[in-house]
Amino acid sequence: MFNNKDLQVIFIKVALASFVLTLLIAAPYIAKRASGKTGESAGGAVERAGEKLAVKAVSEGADDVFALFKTGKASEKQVKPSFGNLPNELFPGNRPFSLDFHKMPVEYLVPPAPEVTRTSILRIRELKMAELEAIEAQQAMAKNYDKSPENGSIR
Amino acid sequence: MLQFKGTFSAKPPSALLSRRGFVLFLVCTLALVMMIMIISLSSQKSGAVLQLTKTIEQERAVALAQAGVNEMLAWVKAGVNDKNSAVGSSIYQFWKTKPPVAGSRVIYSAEFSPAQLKMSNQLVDEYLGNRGYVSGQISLVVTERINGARPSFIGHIELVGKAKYKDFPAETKVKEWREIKIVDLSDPFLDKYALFVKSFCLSLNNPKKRIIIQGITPDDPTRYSFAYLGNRSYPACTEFPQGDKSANAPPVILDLDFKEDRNLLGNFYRPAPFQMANNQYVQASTGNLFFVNPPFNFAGIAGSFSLADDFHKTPELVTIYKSIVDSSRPYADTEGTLGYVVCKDYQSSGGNPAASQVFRALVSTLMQNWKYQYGYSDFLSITGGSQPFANEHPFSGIINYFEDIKQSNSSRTFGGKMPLLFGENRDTPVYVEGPVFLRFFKVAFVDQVEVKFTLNGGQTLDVPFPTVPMHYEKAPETFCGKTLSPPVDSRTDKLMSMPIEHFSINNFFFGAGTTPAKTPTAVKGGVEGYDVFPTIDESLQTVSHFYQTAEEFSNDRIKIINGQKILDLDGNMLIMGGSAHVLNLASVNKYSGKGKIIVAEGSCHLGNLAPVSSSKDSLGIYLMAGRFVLKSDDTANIFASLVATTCFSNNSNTSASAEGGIDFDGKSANIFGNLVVDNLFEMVNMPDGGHLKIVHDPGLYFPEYPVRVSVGQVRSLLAVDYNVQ
Repeated sequence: MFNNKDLQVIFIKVALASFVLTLLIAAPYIAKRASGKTGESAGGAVERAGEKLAVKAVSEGADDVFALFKTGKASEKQVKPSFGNLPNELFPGNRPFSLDFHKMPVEYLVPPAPEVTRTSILRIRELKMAELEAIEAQQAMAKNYDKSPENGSIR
Repeated sequence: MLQFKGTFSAKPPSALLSRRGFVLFLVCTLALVMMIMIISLSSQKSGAVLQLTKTIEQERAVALAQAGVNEMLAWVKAGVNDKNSAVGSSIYQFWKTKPPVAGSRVIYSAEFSPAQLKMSNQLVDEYLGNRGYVSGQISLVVTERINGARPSFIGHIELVGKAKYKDFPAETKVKEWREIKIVDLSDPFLDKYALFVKSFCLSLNNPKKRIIIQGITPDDPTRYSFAYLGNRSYPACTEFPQGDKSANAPPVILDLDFKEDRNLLGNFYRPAPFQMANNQYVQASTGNLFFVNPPFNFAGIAGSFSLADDFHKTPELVTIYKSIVDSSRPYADTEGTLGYVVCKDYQSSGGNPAASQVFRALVSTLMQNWKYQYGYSDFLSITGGSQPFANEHPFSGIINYFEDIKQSNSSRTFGGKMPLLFGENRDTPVYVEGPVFLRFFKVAFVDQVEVKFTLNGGQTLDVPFPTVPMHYEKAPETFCGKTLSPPVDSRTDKLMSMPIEHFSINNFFFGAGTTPAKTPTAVKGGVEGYDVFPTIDESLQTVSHFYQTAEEFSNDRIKIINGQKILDLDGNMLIMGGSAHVLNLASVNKYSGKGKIIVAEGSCHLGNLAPVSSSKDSLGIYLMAGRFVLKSDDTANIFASLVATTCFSNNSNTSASAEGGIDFDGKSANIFGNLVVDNLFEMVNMPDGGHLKIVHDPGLYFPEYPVRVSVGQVRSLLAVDYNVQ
């Protein structure tokens, strides 16, 4: 039947017609997909936008942070060295002086007790041990799965 | 048969026409059968198909709602650390009030319309055409306040994504919780220090290895940087037999370099040579004194001394006396001569100047003629150079001090130039805590005089008496060490040459009478310097990221952007590490975000490290048991707060090998931030001519918003509501 030339012609014609028809029907959808992809690349996700900013900052070399090392002039309003005006007062006695003169909030003057650090160290060690034990348990379990069938594997 | 064959083969077309409609009949029959089959199959399976279709639609809706959740999550992540964003502003306002938290408290909530979830709704369009939309809502809930110097808060963010088909009444919801940590990274107590060194460092005055501190420079006289220089592990010696645990705290001595530190001296800086009879000595003193008191008539203080007790041990006076006795011996038998009188007196006193009337007369005469002079010098002027100034006899009174300390406390023999605590211009106030004292030296003598003696017969004789240096005496033995009453002047109640080492270093900026604050918390609490550690949340709830090893940390937090390695900081990041572990950041030159890297055990290699944005990014590294090692090619420039201090069971008694510190590894270092260490290890690996410069970051000391908000990487809750009717 396939040797029939007329039938071959009809078959090719029907296939071409079907393809063209499919293309015509799908054209709006394909056009929409294409425009959708363009939109996606133009819009960008929030995270991508953030990343872009970082890339921009890095490529621009960010601020000239090294200029910060050059600052070194005291403000006119800061305390001035007064040693020179006071030599006569300085030498005798060195009388007691109130240390409670730092005009700062109390949080600047009270350090945390060293026990807090010790407790933290203890907790970190516990955490570390727990994690290592978990890894060991995981590895032990993995070994069970790796056993060969003749050794009674469940695999 | 033949006929039939013949008939068949020779049948006329009219016979075939009688069998037309056979194929049509066959096709119609088959179509009918198929229709019956389809109808029956459809009726049989329509429930399952419907079910399957519904499931597919629902899963599609869940996926789209999840897309909405992800888009909102991205929006939250982008905004939580930006106080100009809606969500960031709410967090900032909440942080500013620092309220107590009892139960759950919603600090921010928002609805997201389909127009605000563009990406998700684009997906909807792709999958469903115009048949649906995605909306959502978020709530930021704080559930707990973690107290500290400044509180932190933890809670969760609830994200609800809703997907809806326009032609279908049910709405599919996906609810997701992510842990959120609002962590205050500041440590107000330690952040006020530009430099904090717990253990005694002998090399602080090393002129070849300079420590430079540039304190903050605000327009507020009540704000200044702090530094702490401790005396832990001070070597035991005769002067301090129990080292730093001796009854008197061993001092940390800083040597004035009057040429470089002259700005600190103000009007006290009046360099001049001594006014002396011998020009050689005038020349020798030139350039070696920063303050000289004019010659003072000794007669004015003569009343303070006993002729019998205070002079006979002064070697120069005994020598003069003996030379007079020796020169008198030829006249010992010639009555009426001065020599005779001298020799008789010598015999009657048994050769003891203390009992000699002639010696007393000599001293009395000298006191009427002497001019007492003193001036102030520094360590390098006295000991430095090829021909130290103090080697000249009139100025040698101070040498006794060095001989004494060599025996009693060799630590004091190390000297040089004090660190540049007050900036390179010496104009920035820094309050120094710890037993820190300034040292310079008083050099004193009585100049040579010519005493006019009237001889028998009315003749006068000018007898020269040489310069007498005023020797340092640890315990008063002669007139040099005796306390004067009245004093020469308000500065001088003893004549001897001596070190001036009782001034607090804070006298420069904080006035007369400033006593050194022995402990950094002398104001409040009285905690010793060695017991000071960074603020850490002992519950570890404020830790945003846990890493077992430094490699895990590096793999997760070092990103490559534009071909450059960037350290991505996000709150408190704890690396548990191990003794041999090294956090190698030497190849990372930039960081972004705010964060503190806490390394429980292990060292940290650093090269150059700077923020991408100095106004937005900040970094703190806290080594709980390890050291910083500089691995840059040249001077390391580091913009961070660096802390390396180990907490021992007894912090007053430590082994240097376990102490935290900084190994310069042949480099100098510039640090913009601050540095807190157990030990500077005498800066052994810093090259000669090298430096450690610390520019105290005002943003670290008085941070505007030292908060990092971290959003959990994993969901703490995920729920789907299909809303099936």
